[in-house]
Amino acid sequence: MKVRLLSVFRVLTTLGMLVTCQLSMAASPSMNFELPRLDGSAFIRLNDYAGRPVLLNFWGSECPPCVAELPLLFSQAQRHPGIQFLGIAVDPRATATRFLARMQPTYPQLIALTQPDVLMRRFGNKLGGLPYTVIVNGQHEICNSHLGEVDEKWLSSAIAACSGGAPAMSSKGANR
Amino acid sequence: MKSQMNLPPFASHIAWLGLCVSAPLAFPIWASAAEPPSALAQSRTDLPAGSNTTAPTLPPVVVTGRPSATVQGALREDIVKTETINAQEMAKTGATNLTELMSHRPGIDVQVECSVCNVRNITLNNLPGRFTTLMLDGVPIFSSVSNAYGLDMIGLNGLERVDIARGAGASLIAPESLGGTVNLVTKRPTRDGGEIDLSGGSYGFRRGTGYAAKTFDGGAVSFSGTLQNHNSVDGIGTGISQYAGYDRQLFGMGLFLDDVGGFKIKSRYDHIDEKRMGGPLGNDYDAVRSSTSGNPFDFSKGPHGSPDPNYWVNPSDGTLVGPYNDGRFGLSQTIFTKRDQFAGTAERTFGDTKLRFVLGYADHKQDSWYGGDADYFGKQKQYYLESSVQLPVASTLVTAGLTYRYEDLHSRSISKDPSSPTFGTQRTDADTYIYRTPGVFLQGYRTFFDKQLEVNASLRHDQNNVYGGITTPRLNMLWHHSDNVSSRFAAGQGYRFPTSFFELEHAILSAPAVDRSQAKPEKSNNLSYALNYADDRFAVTASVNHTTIKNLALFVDDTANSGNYLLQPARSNYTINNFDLVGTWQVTPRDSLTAGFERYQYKFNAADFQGSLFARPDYRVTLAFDHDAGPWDFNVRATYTGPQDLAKFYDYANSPRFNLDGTAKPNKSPGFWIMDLRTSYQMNKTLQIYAGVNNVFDYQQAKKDNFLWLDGQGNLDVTHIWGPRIGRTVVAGLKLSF
Repeated sequence: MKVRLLSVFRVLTTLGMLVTCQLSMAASPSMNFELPRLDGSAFIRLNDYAGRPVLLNFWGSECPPCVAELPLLFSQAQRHPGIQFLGIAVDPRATATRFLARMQPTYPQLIALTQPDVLMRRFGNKLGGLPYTVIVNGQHEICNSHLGEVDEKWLSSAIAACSGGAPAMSSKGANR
Repeated sequence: MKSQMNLPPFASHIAWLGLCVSAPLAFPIWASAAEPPSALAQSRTDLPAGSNTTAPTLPPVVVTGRPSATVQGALREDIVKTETINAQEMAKTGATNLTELMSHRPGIDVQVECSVCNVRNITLNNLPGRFTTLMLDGVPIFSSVSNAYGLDMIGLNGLERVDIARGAGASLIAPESLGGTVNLVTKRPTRDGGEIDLSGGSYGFRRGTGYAAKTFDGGAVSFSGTLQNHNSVDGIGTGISQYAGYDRQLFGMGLFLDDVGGFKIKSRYDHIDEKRMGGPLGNDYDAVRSSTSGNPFDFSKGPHGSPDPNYWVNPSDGTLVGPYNDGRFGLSQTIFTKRDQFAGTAERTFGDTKLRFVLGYADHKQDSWYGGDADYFGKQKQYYLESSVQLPVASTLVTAGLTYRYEDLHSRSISKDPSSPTFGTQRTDADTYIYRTPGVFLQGYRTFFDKQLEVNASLRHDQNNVYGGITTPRLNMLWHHSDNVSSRFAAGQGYRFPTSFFELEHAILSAPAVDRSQAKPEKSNNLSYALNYADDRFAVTASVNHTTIKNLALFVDDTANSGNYLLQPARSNYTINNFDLVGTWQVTPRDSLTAGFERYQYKFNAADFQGSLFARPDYRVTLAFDHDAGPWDFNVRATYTGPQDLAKFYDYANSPRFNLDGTAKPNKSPGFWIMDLRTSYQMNKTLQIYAGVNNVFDYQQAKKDNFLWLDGQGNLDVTHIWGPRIGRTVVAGLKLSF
């Protein structure tokens, strides 16, 4: 059994090293994800919005700056139909659902269920802090990101920069 | 080794306490002048927000309430973790207290040590339960008495999460931590709100809990309370419980202040009041106390029951022992507990330097009747003081700290055992111990290869007044192979200063005192490695662990010679190797599946441990299915526990065990499944209703193999334990959230 345990140890260690070597040789990982909608109706992939810039906002209901910036994001999503807004809750599903019942989200809300920090790390938030907003351009490369509460000025300039200068609109429904 | 009463001079302890408070204050003066390494500055969790900026005017970043064990920077913390149970998982289990929450989790379980009194401990990597160090917000204020009876009393109200560090190596600066640590993290309320949870179920289970939180400018306060009852349960008709009944009341208060002279304060106070009784059924404690003759039990019931309800068979000659004539009181264990505890932390940041002060206090009183053994009154008092400073030194984040642990157990007891030499005589402090343990720790954290590799090394030294000094090094490495793959290596030593609470060995009350002159600190060597993969829908962790315990403490009856009970180290080591694999897959947007497998190898010489161990399985399989959609939530949890080598753990070779009909107990326990179901429905944003069925297949050990057992001379005991003590139960309730 001791030999077997040592073998398992060796296999795992070797596997870890192999994975490291493989990954170091691989190209940079593609920007994609596959997350369930908060209401459980479907999986949403970033690739579903191919060719379109996307704003991802990671939030939690126990995070005051996240709560504070949500009304701004909801209103800005309606003003910028050229960019797809997506909310990603890192709360338990029931908590996030209950919290959002008091608000009127204007864009799809997803939930990160397995390990949210892994997803955030992929999109440039190595710290795993909240709130975190990241905008990817039409090729789904990270264009701009912000750790902490966003303001209208940052949003406007970042969206303009990442969506090729598309003008803001006042129409509704583009992000539903 | 020093004698127990030869305490270090009082003045030196006062000086140490003074040092605990004042030493870190000296650091910021020069620390503030140090240039913060950019790598550390970017990974600080309390940085002002902004993309890699430290502009102080921007709003703060909040670290998510679901930090995983592999998030970048995970090893920066004072208390690292290998697993986390968050609030959502707690809700899905339907657990009402810590022991229920920790049952049947991969690598983690609860060990029952007494069928009639419900002594339960948390085991990590299947190591004996008393080797797990329990902490409240990082404050270690649980010890011998509270570990035996206190863990059932730890409610889950107001908790943000439970962090688990399996293995001494992973526990870094935690004191003791022979097998690992469990840290309960209190939630800091961020908005006004409240919750009322009312439920009822089988065997007289009734529970009501309330939680209220109020925030204000610069802080928050929370209140929680629980009333909970459960009848004692006998599943086989002997009249002797396999599950002890209880009447439990908990009250808690939390106070959170964001800026008190620059310090951020987090504190909680808990009051616990519990009555529990096992053995005879019911909860009329006075009636049980006065029932001291006759036989209210039926020893003929259950598997391999005695041929006569009033007797049992002496295995040595086949004659009948009895008749039993000690009444309901003779087999009762009635334990009244009152406990007050406080845990508080104060943290202040000066530039890149963080100061931390910790104060813990616990006052634990136990007033109890142990039927034919003893009336026992115990009082345990604990204090914990810690001060630490964390600051960057060159490229390393250094944490240095001082701790002071104060722990007393005093007792008085009267033996109720006519065969004891001290029958009827009041004893004072027969199991007492007085421990004073100043300690010092140093921890260094550094990243390499552009933060791909995190290394945390620590060293702590503790100087106990009885056992002398012990130094324990620990090392943790976290390697982020990619965004999705990480691996973790931990190596280190843990220790524990053995205690002598009589629940560990009832017979020690028959001696004037416990002689510790030959005792040594229990010490563990731990080595572990884990490989983790996680993507958006799938996460899997494989780990291997090796732990060897040296000097496992045993009580040796030397009353015939020295008149004392001796606390001695076991002659040989106790080793556990294990491998476990746990994976979670988000199968559909609404459904997730979790599967785990654990395999254990135990190496020990049973004769050297004198039957002091409890049986553990060779392997376990855990499965969980969660359907989580809209207002509905449905959860299934199933665990298969593999066979347990009873003959080896209970040392049948030197101490064979027999049934009440005189036949031998089985050498191995059978494997068995336990399945729990739970569903909830959120009717509106305020009201949720829920229902659950635990142990759906109604599997009970007592229906296969009685908890009662006889030694070779026909003496009765109650600790033949390997399986569930209670069968199928149903619970239903409602939760109101405001």
